[in-house]
Amino acid sequence: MNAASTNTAHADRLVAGYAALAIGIHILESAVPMPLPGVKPGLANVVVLIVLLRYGFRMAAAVTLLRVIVGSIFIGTFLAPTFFLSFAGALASLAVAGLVHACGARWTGPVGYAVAMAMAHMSGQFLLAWRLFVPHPELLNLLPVLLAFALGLGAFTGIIAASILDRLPARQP
Amino acid sequence: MIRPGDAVIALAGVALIAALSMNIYSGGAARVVRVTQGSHDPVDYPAREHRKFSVSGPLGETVIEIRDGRARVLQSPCLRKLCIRAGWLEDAGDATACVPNRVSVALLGSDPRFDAINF
Repeated sequence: MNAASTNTAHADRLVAGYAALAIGIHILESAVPMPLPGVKPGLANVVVLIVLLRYGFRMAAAVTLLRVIVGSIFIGTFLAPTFFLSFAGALASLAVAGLVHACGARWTGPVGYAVAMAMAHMSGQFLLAWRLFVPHPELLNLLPVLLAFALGLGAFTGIIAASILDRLPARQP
Repeated sequence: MIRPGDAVIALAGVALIAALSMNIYSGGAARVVRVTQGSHDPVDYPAREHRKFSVSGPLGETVIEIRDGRARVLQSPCLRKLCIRAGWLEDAGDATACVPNRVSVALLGSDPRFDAINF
């Protein structure tokens, strides 16, 4: 978990590998139709959760930012409105993950992280959409519904991450 | 791999969604209760003050009670008692009426939610 003691080149290779995995999932998921705009399973966050819990916050942040930027370049939404929504969500999600990591890492498992991150992601992208793209007061009526989706889907990705973490071999130093 | 923090976060999430829904979906607190009889001018009563009073219409007396920001019709001389069965009106924008006795009761908040309602 100590980033300073990790060999830099080795850490870079890990970040690249995990980011590639997350980007792949991100692209596959973007092809899945969803009933509400802004709602998706967020399976790429499974990769981020695994990196966060095995290698710490800095590597998880690197994987997340790479996923959002490179993923959007592949899908073709880089610098389009969707990209900014995704980016705002990722930043909010990382901020909350960092907060949970700093305050309660010992008491929190992947499900807790996933729920907090999913709800933060939803809030971040919603606030940006509402403030910048559709500043209409009635849009606020959607927020509880969207957050409920985030809670459920966050728990779902958290459970997937937990079962993967259980199966992974112990980390080599 | 469920830890205590997971439950705390999930419960906090549920509480947040519940609080937001209550805030966003309720019409807000009523400021005044507006009672209208026939073609007379509507009379406004503060919603927070407890009072019970009657309004007379063509059929007789309609008794209205206001308490803690809510209002209801207690007694009405009409046939179907729809106004009584409407129960307590609780949110701004709620309204009921005794059409035979030409009495209507409406809760008004700081901004009206609807211009008019048709049934």
